[in-house]
Amino acid sequence: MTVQETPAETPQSRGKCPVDLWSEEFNQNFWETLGHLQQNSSLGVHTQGSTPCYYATRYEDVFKVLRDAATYSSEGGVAILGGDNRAEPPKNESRFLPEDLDPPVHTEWRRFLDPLLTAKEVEKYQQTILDVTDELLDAVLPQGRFKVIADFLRPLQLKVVFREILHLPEDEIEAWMHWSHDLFVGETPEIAAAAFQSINQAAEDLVVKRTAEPLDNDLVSAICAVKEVGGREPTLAERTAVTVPLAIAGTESVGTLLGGILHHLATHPDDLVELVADPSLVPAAVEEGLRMFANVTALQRTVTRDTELAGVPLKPGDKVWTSYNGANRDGDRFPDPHTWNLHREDVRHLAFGVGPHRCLGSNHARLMMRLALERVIARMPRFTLAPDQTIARFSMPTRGIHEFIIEIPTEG
Amino acid sequence: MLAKLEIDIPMCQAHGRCYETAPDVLDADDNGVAVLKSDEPIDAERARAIAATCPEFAILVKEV
Repeated sequence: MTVQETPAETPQSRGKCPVDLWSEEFNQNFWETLGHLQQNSSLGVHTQGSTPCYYATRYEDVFKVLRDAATYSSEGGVAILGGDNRAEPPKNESRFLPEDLDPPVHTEWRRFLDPLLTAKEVEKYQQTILDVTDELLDAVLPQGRFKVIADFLRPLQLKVVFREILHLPEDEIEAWMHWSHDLFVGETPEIAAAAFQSINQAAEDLVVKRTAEPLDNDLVSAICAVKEVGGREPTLAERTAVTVPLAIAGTESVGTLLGGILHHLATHPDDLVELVADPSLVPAAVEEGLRMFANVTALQRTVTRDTELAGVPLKPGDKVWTSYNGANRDGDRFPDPHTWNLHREDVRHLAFGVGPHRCLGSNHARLMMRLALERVIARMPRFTLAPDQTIARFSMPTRGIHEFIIEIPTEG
Repeated sequence: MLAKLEIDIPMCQAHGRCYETAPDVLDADDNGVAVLKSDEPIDAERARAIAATCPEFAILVKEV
């Protein structure tokens, strides 16, 4: 396997290439556009309102930005939501904590939160994840065909997060499920914006409730119990801003990623056969899936001082958007980047980011993905994409497949 | 050939890849940050393979 030669010219000579990340054209030509940006330009330039957002798509550039929190601040807001008004300038405010903070206050929050979601700590969720997975597969397998997202992956991740992490009452889960879906992939910016408001209010109510009546082994109760961050007691709004991402970060991403993996296996029978024949490859399949189907198309940083990225001079206040999925298919970093390969020597992808903001839920996400994939290949060792369906994808702010139907061939 | 691993602790972001790959060599503290279990050198090739799991490039290999 050969790595494609990179152009000989320096980044400086490549220039900045305009790109409209919210356009249908970008959605339709996603990998071609990212490949073009990686090979032919220094940075993409997406214009939000009238503000240029410098779009980094190469592994090297994304890695550099994410690791250098002093130059690339998170305090102007990191997440880009479906409800953000595309005609207005990019967000320059903090909405989610500790995501939208820099060290040292960010570090203080993470010291409270990280111990609750370490690899060892998340093992306690194992049985629940298996139970929910099996319960959902029990319902769909007898049908012989099913909608992978609506009937399996979305309920899987939402039930696990809302029931087992947030410990929400059963009669509230349905509403949270709708909001968290609309927040990312709502059909219109208005729907997404309304969902953001609703989920914020519900999270605030939850914080008030858990402050009054804390539960054991409960993340929200732990957030409510934090006494001091940055030299003072966190406000209700701040505790809510920590709770919201716990509710929503894991409710699109894991399903989108697993959807990418299952779609790949349904359309690449040899890769399915390989995995079914050797289930010890499941962790490798999850890593390769995280590399190839990483959902994040853009997260934001704000430049704090004069600097240069990929040869482009940047000044304080400039917005830099980073593409995790682009970096993960950068041919300079991963040979043959669009090919599924469970035997890569180096699969250190950026699906969970790097640096101080490394995804807080990464251990939980890995566990869910591995367990779900193990159960899928054990219980349906053969499946194919149902014929006559159009596969539609979304690309902003995350990339994934809206829906697809798979068929399980009857044994004969 | 033998080598020692060295963890650049401020760079470690607790991804947990190293101690999952080599639980006999590394463990985690309560925050998930990698901790070397022993100062004893290990096989150099294995040391390089462990270092190659770190998404932060925070594990250094020193041949001894």
